[in-house]
Amino acid sequence: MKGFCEKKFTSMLISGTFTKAVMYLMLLSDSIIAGFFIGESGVAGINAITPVTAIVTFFGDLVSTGVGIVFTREVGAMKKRRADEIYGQGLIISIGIGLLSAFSIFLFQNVYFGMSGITGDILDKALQYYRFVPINAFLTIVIFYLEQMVYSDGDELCNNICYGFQIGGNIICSVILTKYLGMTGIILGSVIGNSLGILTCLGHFFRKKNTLHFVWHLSFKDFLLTSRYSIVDSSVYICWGLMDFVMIGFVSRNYGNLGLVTLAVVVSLIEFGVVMDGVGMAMQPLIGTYFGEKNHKLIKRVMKSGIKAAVIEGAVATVLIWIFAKQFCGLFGVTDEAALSSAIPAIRIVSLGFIFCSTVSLTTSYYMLIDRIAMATCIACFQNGLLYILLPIAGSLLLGINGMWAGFVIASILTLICAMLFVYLRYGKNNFPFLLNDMDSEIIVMEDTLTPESATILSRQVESSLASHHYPKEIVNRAALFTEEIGLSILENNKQAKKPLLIELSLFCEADNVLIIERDSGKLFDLTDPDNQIKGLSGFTLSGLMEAHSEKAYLVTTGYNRNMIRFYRA
Amino acid sequence: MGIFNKKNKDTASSSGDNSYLKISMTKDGAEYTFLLEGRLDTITSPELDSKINEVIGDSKKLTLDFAKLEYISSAGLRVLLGALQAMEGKGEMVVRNLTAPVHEVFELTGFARLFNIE
Repeated sequence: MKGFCEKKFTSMLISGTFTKAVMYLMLLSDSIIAGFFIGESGVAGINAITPVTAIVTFFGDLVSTGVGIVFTREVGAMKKRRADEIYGQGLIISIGIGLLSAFSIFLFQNVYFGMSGITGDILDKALQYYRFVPINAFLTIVIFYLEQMVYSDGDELCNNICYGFQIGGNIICSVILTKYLGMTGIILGSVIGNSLGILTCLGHFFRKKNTLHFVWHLSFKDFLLTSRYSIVDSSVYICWGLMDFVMIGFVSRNYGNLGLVTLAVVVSLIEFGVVMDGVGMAMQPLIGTYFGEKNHKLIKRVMKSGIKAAVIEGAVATVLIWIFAKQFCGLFGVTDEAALSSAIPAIRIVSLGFIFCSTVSLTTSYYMLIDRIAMATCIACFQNGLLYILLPIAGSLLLGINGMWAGFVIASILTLICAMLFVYLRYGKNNFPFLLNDMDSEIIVMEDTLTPESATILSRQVESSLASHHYPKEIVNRAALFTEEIGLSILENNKQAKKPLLIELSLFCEADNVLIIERDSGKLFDLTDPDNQIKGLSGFTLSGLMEAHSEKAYLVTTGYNRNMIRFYRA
Repeated sequence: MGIFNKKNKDTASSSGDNSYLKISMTKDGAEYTFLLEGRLDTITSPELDSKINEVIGDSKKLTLDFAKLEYISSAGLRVLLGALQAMEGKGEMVVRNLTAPVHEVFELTGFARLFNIE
């Protein structure tokens, strides 16, 4: 049965995968539109600006990924003020870096094109496109950040709508404007798409469940704290660049132009693998929150759901590539028979590694999220930088061109085996593979769909669990009472609710106290607020209980109510 | 009155929901005493409610003995409140021998001031 965290994970997964797919489409859409409406010189013009867009993507990632992770952790630890500071600093820095990037791109236009050596029609097209690149760079960095934070705040619906407007607006406007403005129309379409996306994102700030509150905060230490999480993703892109560089040389020497065309499609397919990183993205807000709580039980449950999702996504992607191999090649302009006969088998072979590829991607995301950043980076570089070069070359030398493509598959499998073996040998059987032994508190997790009866049954379970842990009777009774009354109060506050209400309780059994963290899917209601209107006898009882205990907290987390109360031994 | 249909000083007992609550009743004329043992929660409180309702019509004094009651929630309090209202103008209602956890709930909710506690 799917529990509370698994359901939220599924919901985040859809949005996470969508997000990554949109990011991939955004990278490709301008080239596809240019190829369709302008021609080869248009595509070449956009490709000439790839280093600029890569730098913008790098900065966008630098200011967004880590902030999302640290923000959810602080929320998980109920440190609202600190979470606000992290969010505030991230916003200031993203706007600052966005403006800096825009000015730099604007000022260094002549230097850049002078060094690039592009001339003629391609230069004309690139210059037309470049006209709005500075504005687009600013908008891209800001929207990267806003989307990451809205997602981290649990509003995947707003995020999906935002992406819909961003990509939809981009494509529609680009197609229309290209007819009148040529290359400038394409980039203007991107500007409009990003602007629409930002406007849609702002909608989240008017929603009741928004917890993103700006406070002015600037600290270099915090910037380092958040930016180190970007190392993993950045290293992957650097490794791909290296792999591309080495493989182009090797393939051109051994397989000529046809091999190079096929390699280009294969590299695009490997880049398509980032879509499967949506699983890692879906885990991020949940694991961040549970990491802040030190809730190792739920971290493991989310990770287990993640592994299942990664395997399924990998398998689905493999099947889709096998079926639509020709169409995928067509996206990159590979349409003639000779090129297709080389590219189709190549991408079909490479796609066989998708399940392992997505699992490796998930593994690196997981270890990054639990602060094993160096290990995550090493795993990512081992696969993308080392094995993606060595094994295809070895495969080519042993088995020819198909052996080369098979090398990419073996690289993912070998990375996974080596990574797991390393973790097992380095950290021991007991800590394998989650590495959460330092979170040693005893945790009991309970969950159910709320009814008056299930609230009572949960209360009885809390009672018997705490009694079996030898807590004094008064703590056992208070915890049981809290459980039943909070359940009944949620039902009272959500009488009109059509969807089933979910509740999840985590009991952290400490030596001198028990901490209860409650999550529910009811409408937002702060139990700790003394000014709240009390409904019913259960609300009255709960209010009395809450008033009698000083250590309590409430925080909307990933869009859900989250209450915390601690009962100390007398 | 079913199992309660006995003469002076009769006793009856029943337990519902896997013995989470045991209710014993003694009758002395128009005085009824309920001895509760276990948990008075959302699931078990309807049973106490129905047993009180069966006798409240001819009751002059209703006593609830909580000596063995370990837990009471708002659902249990609601039953007590209903009984208190039903006894108004008819007779007396007393709760006695409150255990520490039950007493705490009475204090938290202000019910300690509503009831005649012995």
